[in-house]
Amino acid sequence: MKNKSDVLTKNVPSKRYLRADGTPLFAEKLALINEALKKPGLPKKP
Amino acid sequence: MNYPSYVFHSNENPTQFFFESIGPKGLIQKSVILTATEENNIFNLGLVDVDSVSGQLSDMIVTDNGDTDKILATIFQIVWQYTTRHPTHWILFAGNSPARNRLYRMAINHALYEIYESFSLLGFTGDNWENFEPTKTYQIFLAIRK
Repeated sequence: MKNKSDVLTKNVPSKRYLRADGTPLFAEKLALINEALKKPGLPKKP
Repeated sequence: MNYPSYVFHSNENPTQFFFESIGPKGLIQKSVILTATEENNIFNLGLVDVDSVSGQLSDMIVTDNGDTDKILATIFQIVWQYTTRHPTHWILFAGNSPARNRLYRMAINHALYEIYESFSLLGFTGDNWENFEPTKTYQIFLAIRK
């Protein structure tokens, strides 16, 4: 049986996911991550 | 990674994956979601529970279904598959608490040799990024496919 993950494509959309209360999932974590991505020590970004 | 893992699948959205956690608390639908950051081709990996009735997502629940190792192995398989298809994409992950980050670090250490076969691994100290060191505490982890 063909694995459903085989439907993955090269097209990667950006999507917002919401909690039941309407607040965005991962919002706090993404804020931390976006700040961290500005800090030194990373290799050349993709 | 040759650890037991769950079968997973994705729907038409190639950044969301689903699997079922099976343990003492029953069958719990889980989803791994890759969320875009402000940087192109860099994604945050998040693990959420999916309510079986409403389909609503929650990243605040601690399920404690006795299968942490199997869930982490499944997440590794998802990251491996995704980065096979998108080898230039970076995957970040961070726990909701220092305790959860410690759990992630322990899991990484447990499979470090296998991870290094396919990924470079960095950690964010709070001030800067550095190559992952097994004994150090990190706020965020970054996996880059070799």
